Amino acid sequence: MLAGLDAYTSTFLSALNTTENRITTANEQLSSGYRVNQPSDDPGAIEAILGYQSQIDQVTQVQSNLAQATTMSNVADSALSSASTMLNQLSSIATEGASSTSTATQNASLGQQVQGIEQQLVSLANTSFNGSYVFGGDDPTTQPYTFNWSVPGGVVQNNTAGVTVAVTNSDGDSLVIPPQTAQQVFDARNADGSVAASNIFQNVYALGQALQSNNQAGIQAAASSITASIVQLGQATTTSGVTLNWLQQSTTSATSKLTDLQSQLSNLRDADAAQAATDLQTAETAQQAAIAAHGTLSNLKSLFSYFG
Amino acid sequence: MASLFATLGTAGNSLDVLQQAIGVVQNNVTNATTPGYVTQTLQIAARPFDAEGNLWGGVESTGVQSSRDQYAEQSVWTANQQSGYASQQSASLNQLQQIFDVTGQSGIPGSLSTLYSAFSAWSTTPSNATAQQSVITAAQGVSAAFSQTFSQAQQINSDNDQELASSVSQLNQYTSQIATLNGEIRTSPGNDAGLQSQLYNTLEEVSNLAPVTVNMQSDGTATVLLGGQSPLVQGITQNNISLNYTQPANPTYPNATPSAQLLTPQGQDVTSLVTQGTIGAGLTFANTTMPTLLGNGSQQGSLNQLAQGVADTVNNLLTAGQVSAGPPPVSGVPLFTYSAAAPTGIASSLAVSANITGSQLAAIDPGTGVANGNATALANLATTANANLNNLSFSQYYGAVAANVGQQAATATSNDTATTAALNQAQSLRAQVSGVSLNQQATQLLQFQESYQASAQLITTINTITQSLLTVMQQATG
Repeated sequence: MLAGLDAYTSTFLSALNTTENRITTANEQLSSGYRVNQPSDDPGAIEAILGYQSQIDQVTQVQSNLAQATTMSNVADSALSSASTMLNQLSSIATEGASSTSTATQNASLGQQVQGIEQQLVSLANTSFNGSYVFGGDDPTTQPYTFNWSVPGGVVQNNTAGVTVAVTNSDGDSLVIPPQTAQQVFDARNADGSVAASNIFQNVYALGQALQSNNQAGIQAAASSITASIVQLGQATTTSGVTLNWLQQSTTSATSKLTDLQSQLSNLRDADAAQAATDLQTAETAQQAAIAAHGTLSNLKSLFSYFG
Repeated sequence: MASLFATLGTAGNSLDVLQQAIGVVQNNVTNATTPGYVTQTLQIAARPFDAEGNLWGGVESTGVQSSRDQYAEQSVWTANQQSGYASQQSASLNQLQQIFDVTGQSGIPGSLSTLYSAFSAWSTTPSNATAQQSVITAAQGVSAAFSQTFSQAQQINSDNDQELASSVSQLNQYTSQIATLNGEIRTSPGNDAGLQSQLYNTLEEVSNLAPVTVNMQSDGTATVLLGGQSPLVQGITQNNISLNYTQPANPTYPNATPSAQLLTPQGQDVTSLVTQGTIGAGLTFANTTMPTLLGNGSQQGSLNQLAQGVADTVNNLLTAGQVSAGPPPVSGVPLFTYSAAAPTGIASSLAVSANITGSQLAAIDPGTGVANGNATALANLATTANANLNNLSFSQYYGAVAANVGQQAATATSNDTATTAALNQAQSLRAQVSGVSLNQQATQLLQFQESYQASAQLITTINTITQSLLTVMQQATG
């Protein structure tokens, strides 16, 4: 036994404690995959780590919002595409009804067809997705129109809400989505609220009424109006296309931004696994060596051991 | 003949001295690991020798000398005060920092992120009942996270208070022991190594608790001053220190957690003297570290500021917004409530307004008429700077608070390592100077044994000579 062995023991224990802390840190890094597991690991990086994680959460939510808006816009676009098919069909019916060979009975039958198509157009205007009317504008829970052939225009408007709900992308830009209401697409009005010449519901209704009453002048006028409605629907389809295009670009941008943010966060927070494994190995070796050395020190004998 | 008898007496006396020396070695060996014990050495001196003048020399004991080194002891005490402080600070701060999430996926930052996401999802479908309910659920998550963090911080504060009380009680016990030892030292003859070892061991324990200055008196007693000024022990008189909690004069937040203070028996506040030792660390933690989070009489505390900031900002937006544009327009209602009467407990009292329904959440911005304008503004709170929170966003403010605690913990851990090393070094140095070396004691024992045997042999030889002389004399006279 040597002088002051207690002091050496204290030094040994505190050194062993330091080595064990290194082992704990390396183990923590390897098991969590993170370099920063508690604030003291790198106080200067905490704000940035939390900032990146917050941005990642935001962009992830933006991706979800964009995905939902894209689905809804696709549903709306599909409805517009169906409406376009129907308007072309109406154009043919109008041509057929305006023909001199078409009889009153035939026209009445055509008028019945038109009435059915009007009903289908109303269904398209009332297209819903996940409980929301895609052409409901700011009031997506109220059905926009009800079909009623006995009233002028063949429809009753239930929802007069505008459209202002904008979706914001990861760059902070926003776009009103869905971009148009059922009224804007199917029931176009002039600035003073009067029926616009391109009004789809009105023009289809007028065609149906003219066919059912075999009003040739009315049929021809309606045929011309249907053409105006086709143009009107074409504009709505273009608007829808612009929206889908913006959504696609925004989705691409959000994905890229998310990858970028995750990479930055990873650089700042993630552990260098190889380095951590080496640290662990080194610390474990140091610990074993220290324990072995202390064991040797404890076995040292004083002169008393050699007394007879 | 007379000189032979004198020599015999001298040799016999040397055996006594050598027995004393062996006794001192025995005491050193058996106390080699006794805390506070230092090597004792029997001082021996040669007696006057003048054969012609009939002075027959010999050896005599001049007392036992202690190898205690005041400088080495003082170094250990100083290092111990610093080590006690750093060790306690490190333990408390490392415990405290565990309540702060650094992943951004749980605790306060995780719950805030969930709330922003809920606002964002709601903004795309403002009238959707599920999206509205998600906002309320996320808000409940925020209040739960604040409440849990506040409660954890309070628990740590309470644990620190208990440790502080225990340390003060220990200090009083130790100073009481020192006063008792002082009394025994005064009445004990000479320099009692046993009493001294108990005294120094107790002084070392005291130095770990608080910064003390020790003045050794000529009678061997120790005078212990707290912070070099306030006497804890003078002779056999001990002054108990008491722990007290009090609010500062005219507090801004009277309901806040009071500050800890140390008082002398005369009621004098000696808190400012205790800047080291575990008690110093406990006071710093209770009076400086924790109030920055939980508040005290003069500050609201960052957790409460953040909780109030979140609640006020969200509520202001929601109440300024509209649920319906009307006519008549319907305004929104606040999402959060808290006890405004207790500003230092807002993180704990933060809750979601009772009976609030999703349909009462105002998504409409009445300024622009945009149906989700308000909901979008709420979602944007993730990055909105707050004037009341140093122009930081909520997440940034939380990050700054966590980073501050983390920095303190990192510094404390580093200080702990450094001061422990310094203490070990000081203890090692002291052991080198005054610790018992068994090898040295073994060597001395061998020397004393040889001397003892030689002296004993001398007595035998003188005895033989004397016997021979007596025989000659008997023959001459017979």
